[in-house]
Amino acid sequence: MKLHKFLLPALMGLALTGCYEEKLGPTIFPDVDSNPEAGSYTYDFDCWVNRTFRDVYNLEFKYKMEDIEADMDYNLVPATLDNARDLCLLTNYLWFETYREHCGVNFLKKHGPRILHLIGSPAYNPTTGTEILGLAEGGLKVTLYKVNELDLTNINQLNEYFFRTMHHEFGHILHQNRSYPTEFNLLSTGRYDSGTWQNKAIGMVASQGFITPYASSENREDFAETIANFLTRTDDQMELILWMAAQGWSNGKEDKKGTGADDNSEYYCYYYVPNAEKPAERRYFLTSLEKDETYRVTVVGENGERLHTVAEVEAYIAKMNKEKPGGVFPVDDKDTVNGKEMILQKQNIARNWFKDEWQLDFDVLRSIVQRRQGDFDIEALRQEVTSTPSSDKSDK
Amino acid sequence: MNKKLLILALPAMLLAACSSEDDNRIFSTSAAERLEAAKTDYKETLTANGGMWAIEYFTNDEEPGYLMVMQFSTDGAVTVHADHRWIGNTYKTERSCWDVLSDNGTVLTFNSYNTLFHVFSTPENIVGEGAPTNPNTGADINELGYGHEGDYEFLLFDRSEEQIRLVGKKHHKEAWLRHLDPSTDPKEYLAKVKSNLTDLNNRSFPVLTLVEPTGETYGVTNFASGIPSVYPYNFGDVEADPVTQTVKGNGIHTTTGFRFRTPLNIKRADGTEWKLASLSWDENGILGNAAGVKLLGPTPKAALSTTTFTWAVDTASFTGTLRTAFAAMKKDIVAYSKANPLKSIKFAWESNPETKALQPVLVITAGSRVLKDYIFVNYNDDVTAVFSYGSAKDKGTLTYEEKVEGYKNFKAQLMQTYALTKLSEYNPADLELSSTAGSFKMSK
Repeated sequence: MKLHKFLLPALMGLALTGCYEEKLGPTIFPDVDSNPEAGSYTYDFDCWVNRTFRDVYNLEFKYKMEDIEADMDYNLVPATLDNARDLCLLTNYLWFETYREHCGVNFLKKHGPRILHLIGSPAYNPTTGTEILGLAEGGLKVTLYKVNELDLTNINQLNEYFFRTMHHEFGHILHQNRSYPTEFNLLSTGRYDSGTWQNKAIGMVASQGFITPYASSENREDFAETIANFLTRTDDQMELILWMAAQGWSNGKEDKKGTGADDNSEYYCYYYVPNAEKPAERRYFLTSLEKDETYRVTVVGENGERLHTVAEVEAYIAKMNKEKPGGVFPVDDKDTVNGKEMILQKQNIARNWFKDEWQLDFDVLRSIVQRRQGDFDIEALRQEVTSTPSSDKSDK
Repeated sequence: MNKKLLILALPAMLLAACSSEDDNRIFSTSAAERLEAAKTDYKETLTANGGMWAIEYFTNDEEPGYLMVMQFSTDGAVTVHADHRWIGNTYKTERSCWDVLSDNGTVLTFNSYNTLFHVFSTPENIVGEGAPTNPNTGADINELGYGHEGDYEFLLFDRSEEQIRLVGKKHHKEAWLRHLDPSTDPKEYLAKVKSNLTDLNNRSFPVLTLVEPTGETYGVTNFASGIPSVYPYNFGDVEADPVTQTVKGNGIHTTTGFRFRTPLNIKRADGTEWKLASLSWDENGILGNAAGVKLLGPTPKAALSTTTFTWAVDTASFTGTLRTAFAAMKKDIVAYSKANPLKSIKFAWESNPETKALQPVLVITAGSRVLKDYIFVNYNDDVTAVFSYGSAKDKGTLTYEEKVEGYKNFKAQLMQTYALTKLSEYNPADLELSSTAGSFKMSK
């Protein structure tokens, strides 16, 4: 009995020991060359992409769409080759080269995304009527949509769909790696609205301290929007948003009487002329901020004159003050939030976070982005792909 | 005792467990290696022998299948040839990228946008001719976010040198690639399908007849659109109910015929069902299948009996004594009135001024004079018509009968028993009428 008791465990031990003798076999994965195949349809461009992104940043730029990299719940299509090429070039010039210029190549080598994926169409959500322009996932991957709508002649569209989206998504990548201060989340507590933000106009959300309607959806989007808008909006655009944020506003639906506007429209009014005979009635004349590719102040009335800068807005108010015997008046700010101060406070938190966590100067970064947005030459960038002999572009 | 046996058995088990050779492996290579090999194999198949394939492609269930031609190059480019309605029904070509990947299986992907092909996958709202509309209001149905719901990434199955079955990764619709001879002209190939449909796509004759070998018949509408509806006709004593027995299915027109996306369950008048998968063109230009099912166009009788049609006689087509009589009439009409030569001969339907009933009318126009005879056309069967004089004639006709001999004789010759022949099975807009007195052709 005793022998059996000892022999059995001993044999089991031997068995396990015996199995350790087995050596690992060769890899089960085939040795596949990931370099572009000479003579392939996209060889020159593939070489440029590898040289620019893979070899430098260890980043795979998937400009040919792969469904498996996207959310299968959406109907999406690939980008055209021409548009994908141009957006790759612009991504390098306006995003990667911006950081490289400011802090060298190592910052994005270390903190940049590992996958960039381009998709030709937007990702529509038919239920909410919204569309996704970009996605950042797990601190590793950034997806840019609507590439087939790339219009190099329309700077506002380029900013809205692509440049701002790039910096927005990179903002997410950065805060997914190092959290931003919780203080930021507390600034607009109770005012976020993830369900109906898309129905709100900039006039209302700016007054409540959000840089865009999307920023009012939730705090992490607020943070990414704060970064992206600060970096990409021009001085005039930023000044106009801050002007709007500083105004009181009246909901046109509630106070539409006398505006002459469509009863169903929802807009936000900043200035009015009182009716001398009926003090309760006001004629609003400076109103809704349209969200097209950018924001504007619009004059109520026949031709809906659009005012693009604060100087234009103030000149118009001065003109109206002269024309109207009793003068014109700003609408009271009743939302209890100093929108302008709130937006500036959020920008300051982002500024300090860039400095403390990433050792980057937010303002210097902005100046580089602004310069590059204004001076990019797509033809010169395209030359980068075609001017270098293919033999020099092979994998290093 | 049992423990002793176990102890004796254990060393053998151990040796087996430690064996480094696995002789029982089903595959000689790893799954990853096999996938890689499958990718290579598929790429070679797709680009072999000219790399030209016709793709039979389906989107949502409300649309027909679309036929396109794809030329796969070894450099990773694909040239798509198409002439479908979403690109304006004109032939176009466009080059883009393709690849074979391995994600969840071996996947054929068209991974850069091609206007001719990816229009079926884009999530944009469908607009333009043929776009779906609300059947009650006719208003646009907003498919923003959905589009046509077509795939551009496909799992690859059932490969041969001649055809490959594809299944869309997202919407799971089946498509087929059929290999084309390298000498095929894609434009002509696609044009042939449209040409085949010319006679089928005829608003004058919107209902075709499907015939089973048993003799049971069915009305077929919208066949040319690729989404036909099929309903049974009465059979013997059994009455059909088109309201509840109409079925509809989408399919695709190809150079060889028509194929439903999935076989259509057709209802008989007695409520039983049968399946129809496809119909192929035969040498006589008739669609049918090996089981003896045939798709037929309207009979000559049906065409000639349609009261909204007017038939113009081809006066150069007369043969036999009809030809002689026609020549004599032409001459006598000019002799009677030089200013009013013969212009045309037509058959139409009009209200008889005496009986007020709708009746066939022979109209011979001589200059400004329109001479009418209200005649009778009776049918022995679907292809035999008997023409005879009616009672009513207008005043001008009576005058011409009295004074123009050739006119009276020609009409007398025309009143014959005719064998009716369609010049096209599916579009009987051109008929040939043959009798013992000769023949002639007329067109709707």
